[in-house]
Amino acid sequence: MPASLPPRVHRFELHGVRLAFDAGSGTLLELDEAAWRVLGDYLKRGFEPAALASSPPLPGEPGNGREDAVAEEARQEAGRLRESGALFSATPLTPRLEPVLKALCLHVAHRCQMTCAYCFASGGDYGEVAGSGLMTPATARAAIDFLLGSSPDVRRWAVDFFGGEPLLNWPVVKETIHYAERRAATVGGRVHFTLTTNGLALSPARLAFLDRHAVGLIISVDGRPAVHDALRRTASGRPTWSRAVKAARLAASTRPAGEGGRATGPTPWVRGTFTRRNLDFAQDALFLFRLGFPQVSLEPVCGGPPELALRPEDVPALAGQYELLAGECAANGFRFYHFELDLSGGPCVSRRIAACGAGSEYLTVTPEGDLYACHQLVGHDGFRVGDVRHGITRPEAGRRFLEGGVASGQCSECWARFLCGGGCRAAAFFEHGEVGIPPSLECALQKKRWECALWLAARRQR
Amino acid sequence: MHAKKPVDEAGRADIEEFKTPHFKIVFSAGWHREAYRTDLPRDCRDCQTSCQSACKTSCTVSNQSCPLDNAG
Repeated sequence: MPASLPPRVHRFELHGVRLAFDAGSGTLLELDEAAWRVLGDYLKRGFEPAALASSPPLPGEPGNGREDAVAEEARQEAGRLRESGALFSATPLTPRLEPVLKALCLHVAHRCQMTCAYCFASGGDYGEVAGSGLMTPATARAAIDFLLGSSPDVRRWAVDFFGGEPLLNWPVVKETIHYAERRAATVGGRVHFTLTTNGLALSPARLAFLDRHAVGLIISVDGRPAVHDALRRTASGRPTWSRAVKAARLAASTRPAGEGGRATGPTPWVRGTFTRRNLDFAQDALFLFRLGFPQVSLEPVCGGPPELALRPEDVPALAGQYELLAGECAANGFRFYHFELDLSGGPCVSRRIAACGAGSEYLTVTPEGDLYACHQLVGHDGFRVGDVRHGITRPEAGRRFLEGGVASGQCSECWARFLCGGGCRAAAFFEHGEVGIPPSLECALQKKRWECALWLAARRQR
Repeated sequence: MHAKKPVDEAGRADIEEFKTPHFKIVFSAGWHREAYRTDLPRDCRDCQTSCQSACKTSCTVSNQSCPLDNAG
């Protein structure tokens, strides 16, 4: 690991507002005309102290006295910002500390009622052909024992119920929540739960249980009915939009947004997916907001079936959609997940440097109890790290995820390095066959989302 | 244990110290001041919770609020 990372400043304009983001300090600046030009000058010429102290006009730059004076004033400001560390700030690094396991993704069901065309889990079974596809109570308990036993000094853990469709193994979801709560309580700790569902099997009784245990809910809806039903159908080919929206509305009814209300659990996120078929995906997000869901996320399909996977040539159109969506969020108070940037209270240093923690702080458990570095890589033997009964027997498989990150390769040169932590390692693996090279299409989209998020943050500060 | 939002204090210091007509600091996380030193509290070493589950919403890194700030 290098001793420090080089300074990086990103200058951009969005909706008529000129902004600059300093990667090293996490400083967002709004620029006037003079600052915009002076900063552009430095970004072309380099930003060594000597260059900052005094820089002659660029070829073709107006040379009248008034403009010279304004430009000089802006240059002096830039120099003082640099001296204070808020602009062109280098980032000292120290070795990452040994990570501790804190979270498990429990694949309680490798089954699903649906056969979504873009599903990375091959319709829920991750390509498996044998076995029931359902986690047993004993395996679930062993997973909780493994989690708490792996990190005895931790007192707050996270468990995500995932699949397939986790509600297809409802008895194990319930029992695991009870068991984990009891086990954590014996050591004065607490487990935070989340559950990702297509909503088809979410009944009022089940929701009431999830509410009582403050289980975070993520419900899958892709947006407009035609968009959703084109790809999210049952195994028998039936559309699912109506049932999914009914479930999301049910969940939203017991968990309204805002503080101090009647909420019985965290406000649910409605999460969808968009493909090449709906490059106007902002309309799907806005549709969901206008249905009454206050928190929405839409994820791009960057791999999978060629007719659905987004392509590099789609980036300009997608960027325009993100900009449109950011404007609507500013005007109407919508919360789009990828724009909810929290620079001052966001992730810790380790996460900013090394991303999500998959493979070390976070592992995935299959119905049979096998441990994988990431939920997206279940079935890839090179990422199987062990099993819940014998623990981690192949630590090198998890440590592969520590490769890359912001301290090396092209990410170390990027202005967004501390916002994405080097990006999704699974996406990198699917694109490049290794986890240390950032995924190119996702990287381009991520940077546009950060621009929108920074712009939105600036708007909210006004 | 965790000290409440040290980066906020650093960021405010930047904003208060530097008021200019051309470059307006909207906000500063203050990372250059302290947040990247691993001997400071906002670090996974001392973190008693996990933020990994948040990434499951998007299957990527999130910049949602640190759960420490909401931990009971």
